[in-house]
Amino acid sequence: MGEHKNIRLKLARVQKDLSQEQLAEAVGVTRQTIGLIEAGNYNPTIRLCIAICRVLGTTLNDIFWEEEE
Amino acid sequence: MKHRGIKDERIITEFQKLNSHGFTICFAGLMISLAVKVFVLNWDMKLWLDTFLILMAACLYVVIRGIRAGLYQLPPKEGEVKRFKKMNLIGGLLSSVVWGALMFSYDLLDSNQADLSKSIMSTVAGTVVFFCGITALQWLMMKRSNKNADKTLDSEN
Repeated sequence: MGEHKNIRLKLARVQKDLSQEQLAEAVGVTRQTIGLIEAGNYNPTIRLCIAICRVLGTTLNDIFWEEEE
Repeated sequence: MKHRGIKDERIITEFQKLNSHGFTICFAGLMISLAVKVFVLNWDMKLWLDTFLILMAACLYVVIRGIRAGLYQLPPKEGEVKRFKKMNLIGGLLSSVVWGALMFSYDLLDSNQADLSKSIMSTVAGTVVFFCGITALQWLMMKRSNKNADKTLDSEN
């Protein structure tokens, strides 16, 4: 549960002054889905990742790339 | 804000998963029901034919759609293909033995004065035919599915 919390997504969303609900509406998913992505409990498809990045004005690398530990 | 109209993939995927589980539950239930009707209660065929046909239709649907979508894939390495063929043969052999045993027991049950040698001969012949059919069919199914998968890839490029 929540192995890799996506803090960068949360930060980018907050920087854009968007709530989870607003981001969810913008990309066409439910608020819960955004919440689960941020909590690291849902692995989104590349299509949804791109949609999120477009709304937040970021790249896939900025939000979803994970460096090897 | 621009709405891109993406359906919630998480919910769709979850529903698909649940539907798949539901199908498995129905499938297992029907299989058990069929087995009890045929082997335990010894009901007449007309009393379980509907269950049998539903099961066959469901199986055929899944298999044919799987083949058409190219979902049954052969392993990529030659060594693994050999192992797959071996497993295919073992699987075919096991199912043939089960089939043969069932046919033989039915032969014995059906005739009071069983002609044992005739029954054994017909069961062995039937088992060999069954074995050849089932292994060939599985192999053809895999080949066809691989071909379809490659075809999809070619049309994409």
